[in-house]
Amino acid sequence: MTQAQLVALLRTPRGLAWLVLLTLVGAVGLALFMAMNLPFFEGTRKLVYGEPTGRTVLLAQQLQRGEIDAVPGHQAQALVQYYLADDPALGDRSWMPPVLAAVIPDALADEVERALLAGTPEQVEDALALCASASLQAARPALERARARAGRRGDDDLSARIDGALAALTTPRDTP
Amino acid sequence: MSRVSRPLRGLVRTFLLMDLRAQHYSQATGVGAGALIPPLYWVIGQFLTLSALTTAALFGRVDADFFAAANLGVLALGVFSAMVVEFHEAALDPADASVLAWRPIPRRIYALARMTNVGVYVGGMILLQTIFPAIVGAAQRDVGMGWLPLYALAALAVGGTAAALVVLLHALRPLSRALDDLRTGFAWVQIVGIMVVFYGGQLMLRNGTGSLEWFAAHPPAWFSLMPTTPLGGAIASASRGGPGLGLVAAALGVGVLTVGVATAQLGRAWADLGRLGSDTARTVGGRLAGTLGSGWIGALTGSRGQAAGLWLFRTALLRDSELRSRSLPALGTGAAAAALGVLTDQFADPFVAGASADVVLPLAAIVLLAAASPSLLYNTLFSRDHAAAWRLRAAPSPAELAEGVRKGVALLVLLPATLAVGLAAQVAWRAPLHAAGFALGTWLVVSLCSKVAAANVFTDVPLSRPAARGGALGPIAVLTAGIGAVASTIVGLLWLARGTPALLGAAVGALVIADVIAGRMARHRMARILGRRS
Repeated sequence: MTQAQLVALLRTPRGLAWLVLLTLVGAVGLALFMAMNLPFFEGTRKLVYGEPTGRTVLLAQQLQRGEIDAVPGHQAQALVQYYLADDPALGDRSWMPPVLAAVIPDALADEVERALLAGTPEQVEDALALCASASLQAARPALERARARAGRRGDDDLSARIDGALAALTTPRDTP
Repeated sequence: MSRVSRPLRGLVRTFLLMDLRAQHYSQATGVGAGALIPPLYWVIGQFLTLSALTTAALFGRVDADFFAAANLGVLALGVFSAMVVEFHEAALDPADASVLAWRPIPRRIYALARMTNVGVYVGGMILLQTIFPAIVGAAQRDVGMGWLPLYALAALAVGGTAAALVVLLHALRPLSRALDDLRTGFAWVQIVGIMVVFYGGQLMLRNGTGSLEWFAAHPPAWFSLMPTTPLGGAIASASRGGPGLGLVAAALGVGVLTVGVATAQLGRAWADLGRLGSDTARTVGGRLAGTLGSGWIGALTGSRGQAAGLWLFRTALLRDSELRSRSLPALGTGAAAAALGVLTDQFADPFVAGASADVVLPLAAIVLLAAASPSLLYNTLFSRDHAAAWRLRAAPSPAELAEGVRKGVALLVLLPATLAVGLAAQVAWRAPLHAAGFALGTWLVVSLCSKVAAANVFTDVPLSRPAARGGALGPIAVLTAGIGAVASTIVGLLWLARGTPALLGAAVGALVIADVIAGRMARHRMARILGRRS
């Protein structure tokens, strides 16, 4: 078909109907392609923790030394993200979970849920480990919601790990 | 049978063919009447794009119930907006009366043909916005085998209900007029939606804070109140074999009921049209805008010709939503500068502030307001009733008419905008004298610029041209830039003179003299050009 014929065809109702039909067929093809690539879309989920500010680092140091027992609300999330950041240069932060659970339990629970909703598998793992190590009771509702979601999605592996984290919250921790 | 089916088939075929080349979306799509691909096709593309982007942003990130609710919400908005934009011609065109009323077409045949036309149109829109969420959504991990048919049925119910609601709203005259006013705005819904999803989606996905997933897991109260929210939950639950089938069936029932009532309403509307005729309906529906004898119009104008021009502009502004939607956005940048300045505390008093960045926005508001005048005046050349402009061309003095229209633009549009800027200054500064001085300075600059613009814009009789879609600013781009440069220079000089009262007084005096001279020159030039034309 020459260009002139194509133009002539597009000027008729039949040509326009063909154009619309082809567009719809293309849309169905694209939709099927997207549907077959669910893992790709799930793989785009990732939380990004930015570089901690000097104020956050100072706050963490003060917390570690036990100099403060309260954290301003707007700093709580930054402090949790400081702990969750996957950056070895930030040093040993293993002391943080119980301290954060004691000082800012709600902010910590929110960040745990955020990781469960939008994190990579590694970030989800870290969040679950954080709950267990901090014995974070405030995270129980978030864990239960995540457990229900994983059940609906048929993700048995994640369900089992969340069950483990919930069990760790139920079991009284050994006191040193 | 053939007595019924023949006119029905003929009407349906004609309506569908006319819709293929309809121009209602030409402004939002930037496609003219002569383009090879008509606006309707680009609207199809916009619906598909919006649906595909929404689906891509949510797929694999949120639960199935939120996925369904959000996509059904976008579908309802899309169908509602498209019905408002296209309703007059797709469902009930008053112009039909002049062509069809004298033919022996039974009212129910016409209603059936129009509903078939609307049905094809709405069905197409629903299909376009269902393809992606229905097919892609079926691959989510938390849905069952029933997702695709359930979602398709729910989309049919939501889309049908939204379309029928527009038909019913048009039956209530005050609401019908309000919808007419919003028509042009609704034509942009898809474009705005695509931009919001495309850019907003990127922002949400790139910032790495999981705000989209958090929003879906903890939606705000207003989202939970939307009818599509429980329906989305029901689709997801029923697809897994859980409860929810009843709610989907109820939604279908509501859809069928509203579509039935809307069909009956269309039949009655056709009977009314048959009695009135299109022209009568239009006149009755239009707003009356006072008369030439109104005292205030005579007081503001120097002659009967100017009074007629001012009255014509005021009437057109009140009646013609297209004129408003073409003209008034020109004020948007100035209003945005003032609002941004006040809201972000960057609207400093130029009379007392030093050379601070905080005086930029108040000064910019003056310049932007002045630079809006060419666009405002240029758009008064166009009218949907342009075919009647021969009466204006035959007027004793078309130039006086143009001067009246200029005064209308200045007094009815630019003066209120200037007062609003003054009010913003008062809110920000809490200094009435300074705010009044600021408003006076703004008005002097704006008035001078509008007169210079009028001298260059009125190359034809006002309200005499058909609306030029997509070309509202092109021919006056250079003039607008020039006016902006002149206004910037004047504002800069006024700002430099602010510290010395004598200098400031002299500058204001010079502005007043320049304003009078520019007014006389503009009238002289308009008389020369329009006199020759007519």
